[in-house]
Amino acid sequence: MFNEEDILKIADLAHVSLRRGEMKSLKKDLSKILNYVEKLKEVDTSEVDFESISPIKNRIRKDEVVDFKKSKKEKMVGIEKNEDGYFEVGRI
Amino acid sequence: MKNENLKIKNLQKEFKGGDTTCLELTERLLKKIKEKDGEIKAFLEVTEEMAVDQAEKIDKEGGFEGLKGIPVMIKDNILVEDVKATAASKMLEDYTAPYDATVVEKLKEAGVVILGKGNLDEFAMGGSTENSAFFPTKNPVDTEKVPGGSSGGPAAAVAAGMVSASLGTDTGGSVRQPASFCGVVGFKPSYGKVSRYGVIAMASSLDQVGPIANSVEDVTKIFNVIKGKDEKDATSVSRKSDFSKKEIKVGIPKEYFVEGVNQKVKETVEKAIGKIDSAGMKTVKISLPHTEYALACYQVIMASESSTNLARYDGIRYCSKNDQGKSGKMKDAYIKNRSDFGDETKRRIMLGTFALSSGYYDDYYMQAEKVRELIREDFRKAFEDLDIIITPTSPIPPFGIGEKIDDPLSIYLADMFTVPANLAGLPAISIPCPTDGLPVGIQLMGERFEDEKLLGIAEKIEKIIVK
Repeated sequence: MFNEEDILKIADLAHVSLRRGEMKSLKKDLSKILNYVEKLKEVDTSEVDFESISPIKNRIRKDEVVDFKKSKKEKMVGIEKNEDGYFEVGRI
Repeated sequence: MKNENLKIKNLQKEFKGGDTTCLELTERLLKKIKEKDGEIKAFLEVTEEMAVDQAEKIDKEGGFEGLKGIPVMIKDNILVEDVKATAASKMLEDYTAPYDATVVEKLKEAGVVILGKGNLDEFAMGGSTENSAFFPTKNPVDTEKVPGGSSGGPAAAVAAGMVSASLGTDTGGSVRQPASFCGVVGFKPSYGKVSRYGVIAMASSLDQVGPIANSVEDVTKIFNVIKGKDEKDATSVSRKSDFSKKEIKVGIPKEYFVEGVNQKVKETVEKAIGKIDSAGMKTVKISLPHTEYALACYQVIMASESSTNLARYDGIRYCSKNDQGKSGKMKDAYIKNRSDFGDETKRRIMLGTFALSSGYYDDYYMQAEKVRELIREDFRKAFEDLDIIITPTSPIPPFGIGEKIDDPLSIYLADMFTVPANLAGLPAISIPCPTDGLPVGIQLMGERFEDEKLLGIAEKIEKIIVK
């Protein structure tokens, strides 16, 4: 079960803010879901070798530049602020 | 059958016989969308101008083969160049796609006509399309009911006869469940069979693009065009399977016919299985012992991967709010810019953040990955002796709009029979069963990468169950 402190901590980690009055429903809904997923702990996974799970190998390709079909300038259409082919974002 | 005249085969016949031109058909459907979609609300955007241009071009070219001239809808989390791709989120309200997703590029090359973008639950998170930031979609079979989700728009558009086919995405059942709810066919290919390049990511180890259409034949035709290895998606492969076997062995897992499954759904699917058995396919009862844990496993993995993927919506990389916050600190700017996520999306981001956080990672994320391996193992063992597995697609029939919105967990439970295929990367298809009431879908799952074989068997079964 999550308490208010937990919810605030998770929101902080997730970079989201809580709307007014949202604490109650988030606490309830997230606790209910957490309670449901707790059943995973019943499963004996001691035999599962995590290292052998999905034997994935890196796929390497040549590091070649592939241009977009259209020019960069055309692709800036729809971006509110741009200058000389660069995106303009807020000052941080 | 409904929408018979919009089946690919029949449209090609009309085009070839000169009964209609691609432009005539396109204009007829655009008119139909104007009349009908005010109520259904399957479309987030109708790309009328683009569709008419494309139809004119196709009529000039002629040579109606394959998918040429076929009217389709693309789910709005898949990029179509120069068209908005919002993923039904306020965060991407103004985002215009700068390039085509690989699947869209392939469909365009095949000559389809894109009529518009389909509504969905925000970022494909949900099972009812009620989580769209813009408006919910209604089920054309019964407009009081949800069309399912998250590909509710694409399924409803096909069911309402506004397009021949559509592309959806399926992370935990988002193609198959809405297809089942709307009474059409929806196919989720094996993980890796279809490129995800240009698809707005939700949970990257589970996401897959899949077609929705009026028949198994039609989803197969679309799948054959969109499948294949793509250099831009490192998980894509070019494996192929054959289907030539005469004797087909079908597994019926007892865990999918338990208490909690709606009686009507159970009866309808059991009746279909009876017909399949009588038609000469061998049906055997099997057990997939870890089924009970699949949904919990899915919730943890899906939320974890989603929270990571959605970190990019911070106002700097994506979404153009550009709010700096009061303090001028980076973190405050992020938090400010991320304030437009809907309730469901926020819940999943938070659950995922929790499952990946220090001190909980081993108990939740790691444990879920281990359970996932046990689920894969269940299927591996079962398929040693089987060709396909049959289950209901959804444990419940379409529910009322607004009926479950206050209880997220109850909507999650509607995914319990579709998530195992995503966890194990298997191909799975939902086919409508004949009913006298609301639609019920039957789900067929195949072995990983044996998509062509599964579709071959599905075509046979589709004919058997309507008899």
